[in-house]
Order: sequence, then structure tokens, then C-alpha cells
Amino acid sequence: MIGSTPVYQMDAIRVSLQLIQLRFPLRHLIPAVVLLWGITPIAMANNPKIRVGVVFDKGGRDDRSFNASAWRGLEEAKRQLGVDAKYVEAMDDNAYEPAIRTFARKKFDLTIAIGFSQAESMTRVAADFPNQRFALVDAVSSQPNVRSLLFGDHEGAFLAGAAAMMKSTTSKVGFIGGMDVPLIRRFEFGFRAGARHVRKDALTVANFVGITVDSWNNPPKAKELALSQYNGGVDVIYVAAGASNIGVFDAAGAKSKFAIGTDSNQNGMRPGLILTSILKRIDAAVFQTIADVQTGKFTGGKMEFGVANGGIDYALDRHNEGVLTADIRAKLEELKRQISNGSVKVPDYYVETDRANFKK
Amino acid sequence: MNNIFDFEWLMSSLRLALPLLLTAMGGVVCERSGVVNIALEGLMVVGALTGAVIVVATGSQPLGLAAAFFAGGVAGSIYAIFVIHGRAQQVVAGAAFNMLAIGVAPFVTKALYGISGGTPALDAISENHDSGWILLAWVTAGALLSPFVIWWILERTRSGLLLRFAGEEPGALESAGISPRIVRTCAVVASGALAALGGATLSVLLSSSFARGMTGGRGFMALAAVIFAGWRPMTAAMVCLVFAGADALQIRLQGSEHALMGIEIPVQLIQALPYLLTLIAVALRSGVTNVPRYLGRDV
Repeated sequence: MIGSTPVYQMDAIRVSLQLIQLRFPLRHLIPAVVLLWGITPIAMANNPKIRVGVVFDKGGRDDRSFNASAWRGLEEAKRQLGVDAKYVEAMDDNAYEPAIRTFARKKFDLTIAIGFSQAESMTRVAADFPNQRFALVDAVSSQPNVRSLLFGDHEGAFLAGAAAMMKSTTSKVGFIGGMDVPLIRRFEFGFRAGARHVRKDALTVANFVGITVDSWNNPPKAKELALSQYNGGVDVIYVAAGASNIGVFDAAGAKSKFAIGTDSNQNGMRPGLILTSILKRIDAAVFQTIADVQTGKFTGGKMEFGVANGGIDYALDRHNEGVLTADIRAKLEELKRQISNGSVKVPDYYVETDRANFKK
Repeated sequence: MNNIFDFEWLMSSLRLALPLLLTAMGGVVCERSGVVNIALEGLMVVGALTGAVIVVATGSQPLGLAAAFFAGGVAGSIYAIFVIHGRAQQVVAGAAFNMLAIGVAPFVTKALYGISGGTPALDAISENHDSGWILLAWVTAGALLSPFVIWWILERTRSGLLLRFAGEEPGALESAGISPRIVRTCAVVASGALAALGGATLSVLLSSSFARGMTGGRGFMALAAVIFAGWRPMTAAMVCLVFAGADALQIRLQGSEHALMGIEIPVQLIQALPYLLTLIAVALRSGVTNVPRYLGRDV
């Protein structure tokens, strides 16, 4: 039986046996351990599935927004490519590194970390396991064995701003961000620019739920912010606040005004009141990366997703086709073309000159 | 900008005060009986989770609140077993209880819905938010009334007298043939129910789902209000309202673009406002009086 296990595992078994003999007096248990260990690789050898480990960010797998988009990609890969997938939901910042390290140590073929806050942990682990493959969403890692999946969030936010301003009857639209961090400022910048692109005299306001990680999980606070904006004359709010988004949708329901969702298609959470959702196709990026590992085409380095290659888009379905009218859709499609061919330039918070030139 | 302190600000303050107010009342009841209640935060989590789970299951908000109230009583009795009958150090046991509640919540949602981040959206609430507003109004009215009721119970009834004796002079209670431990247990159970109801308002009334970490330290703010108010229910309620008012002000200041003559105030500074105010208030009131004499001491 042991004869069919891969060489590296034979080595591992031998080393472990020596360790066990040194440390444990219960040597009669060793045959049982070896037997169990031997059986597992046989099952795997018959079915050469690649193994993918995913570490979700603190919002959790089912935040119906950011992480959920990655989750869909993983599910799709399981279904279409037949890969073996395991995941961990990080409970706090200290959970990232052990989780990534565990996948690496277990020799998973690919370990994916979702979210910019995992960048440092991923870089450290990737340096320790130079022969393994990793992917990181929303941040750049300097390690050559990490693929950095980057998204043009500012372009999506620009579309949101434009759609909001076209729908607005008051010429005043709002943005609500989760935690006040550069990524979310990038959303805010894009949104304000999009609104102003449609109407020069557009009024835009922006609020943040908080300055701590609780911000992503604080719907009551997000609801208060949204009510305050709606009462101040805003009639469309674009929200990028993870699990706090639902608070804004509650406020939209209470006031019968519009909201725009983020990352995943959230249109169905308040049918008819969610003007659209800006889709961040992390699912497509995750799927693509897994497929590349399977076909041996995996490479490290940056991989960018934006409006031009469909990595950023807006959602249209039966829940919002009544409110996102044909004129708005036509204009959005035109904007997508213009952003793709560069005739419309979207200011990016990450670019220093853009940041300096931008007026709130 | 000229009308920051308007009707909307008042309403916003009341909504933000609601969970604090109920939890602080729980804190007053518990601490006046001589039991330190650091566990308020954990009890709020219990309430927020139970409320949301029951609303998901039954679609009824009042039922969710009632279930949270009941579950809070049960959780309070568990805490009471540890600190009163097990004689655990109260601050340590309270902190442990908080960690337990915060840790168990994702486990429960994972077991029930396969999601560790929280419960699914409570569709029942979004579908009939008109009746939801009415319920919110009633609960808010009840919460605003509660300090008066608690005051009356503490100062004007026999049970209140017994409760105060458990915290001030348990020996006298014992010589009268009444067990201070039983009195304290009742107080802790009531406190758990109130704090859990406060927590449930977050998930069932003020938003429409339970999210991990949604209590966000409100239990500790309520406790701070209780201590700052010298364990007096009506003063504690006032303090909660001031906290909430500052929070609502913070939200409105953040929304205004031309705050203070065109100079935009940094978000971080504005968001620190409620905490700054708390700090100033506490500093102004050094040397807290009226501490229950047997607070935190075994009987």
C-alpha cells in the first residue's frame, strides 16, 4: 500500500516515524497511523484533483458582497474544474497568517487570500514556501510566486456615480464607505468624479461608518448615516461597507429612495430600490487563477481587472430593470466604452497626482 | 449646516440611545445588588443573536424581542451561577463571559445557516417596515420610561429595598432571614434580560440582520454610563442620551461639507467626538460617589 504513495510523502513518513519513536512511548500505535496516512494518498492518486485553499477576509464567506464574489468563483471551479477546495474565514487580523501558512504547509496547489489586509501575511508565507503558488486579491505582493489580482474599483465607482446622478432628481448623491482606508477612498473618488462627469454642478457627500474593523459589521450605524444623507436631500446612495451595506438598504426601504450595491449583485436585497450593483468579478479572477494552475499556466505578478476586460461591470436583472432605465443603461454602456479606450480618464486615489488635483 | 440640532437629530439620537438605555438599566439593577457586570457586552450579543434567529424562524419582530429577553435571562442565570454560587472573581468571570458570547455567536450562525458572519437578512422586517416603525416607537417609549420604573422599584418597593441591601449591607439581609445570594441572582437574571433586549434592538429594530461584532462596545459604553451616573437609573439614562446625542451629532457633522467655515474636519476627529465627550465627562466627575458598598464582594 505504501508503495503507491508519492516519494515526498514516503520521506515525510520516515521522518515522522523517527520523531514519533523519539517522543512517544506508544509505539504500537505507529502501524495504525501509517496505515491511515497511507490510505489517503491512494485515494488522491486515483483522482488527481488540485487542491485550493482560500482565506476569506473578516466579513466572512457570505457577506453577500466582497467575499461572496470570491466564494462564487471557488464554487464554480469546484463544479466545472473538479478541484478540491477548502476555506477558512479569518476572525481577526491575527488569523490570516496561520491560516495561509496551514494551507501552504499542507502543500495545497494554490492558496488564495481575499482582501488587502492579508497582503503582509501572504508575502511572509510566500517567501517561506517559494515553490508553492499563491494569489492575493486587492493588493500587490513582491513575491514572484504570488499572483496579485487587482481591480479597477475606481472605474466601477465612476459608473455608480454616473448612474446615481442620472437617476437623481435633486442633483445630490451620496457615498457611504465602511472603514476609512485608501481602498474605500478610491471608491469615493471614483464616485464623485462619475457624478460630476454627468452633471458639472453635482453635489456629492461622503460618510464613513467608522475607523475600526467593526465598520464592516455595523448595519445600525450605516443606517443612521444613510437616513442622515437622505434627510439632507440625497436621493441615491452608493455604499461600499461590507456587511454594513444592509443598513443602507434598510434606510432606502424606509425612505423609498435609491441605493447602489457593491462587489456582488445585491439588487435582490431590496428589489426596485437598488438602482444597480457594481460588480467586482473576483469570482472570474479566482476561477481564472485556479484554471491556470490546473493547466500549468500559472504565473506570478500583477493581473489587472477593470471595465475594459469585464472585471468590473454593473448588474442588470429583473430586480432593477424597471428603475435602471434604457437611457441610463445606454449612457453607462457608452461610458464603459470611453473608459476602455481611454477617452474618459477616471481619477484614481492610488495615483498621487490624481489625488492632489482632485477637488471634493 | 444651520440646523444640525433639528428634529431628525433628535430622532437619530433616540434610536442610537435605545440599546444603550436598556443595557444601562440592566447594569444599574445588577450593580446595585452588588454584582459587577462587565458581561453586559456579551449579554447584548446573546440578545442580538437570539432576536435575529427567532425573527428568521417566525417572521415576527415582537416574538424576536421577547425571545431575546428570555434568552438574556437564561444567560444571566448562567453568569449568576458562576459569580454568585461559584464565587468566581466577578470582573474575570464577566470578561470570560463576553469572550464566550462573542465566540459562540459565529458558531451558532454557522450551525444554523452555514454562515459564520451573521444571520441572513430578516426579510420579515423589510417587507413590513411600517409596522416596524410603530414597534420601534413603542419600544423606544418603553425604554425612555424604564429609568423611572427602575427608580421606583429600587426606591419605593420592598423588592428594591432588598436589592439595595444585597449591595450595601448583605449582613443585615441575612439576619432578617433573606438570602442575599438569591436576591443577587434575581438581579443578575433581570439585568441579563434587559441587556439582551438592548442587544436585540440592534439586530431586530435598528437594522435587519445579526452581524458579527455588531454590538461594537455598546455594552461597555452602557457600563461607563452607569458608573458615571453613580449607579442612579435616571442619571444613567441621561448620560446614555448624551452619548447618543453626541454620536448622532458626529454622524451629521460628517455629512456636512462646509463644517466650520469651509474647513473640512477629518473623519477621524469627528468620529472620536463621543469618546472625547465621555472622557471629558468622566474627568469632570472624578471621585465617583454612591458606590454600592459590597459591589464586587462575595456574600
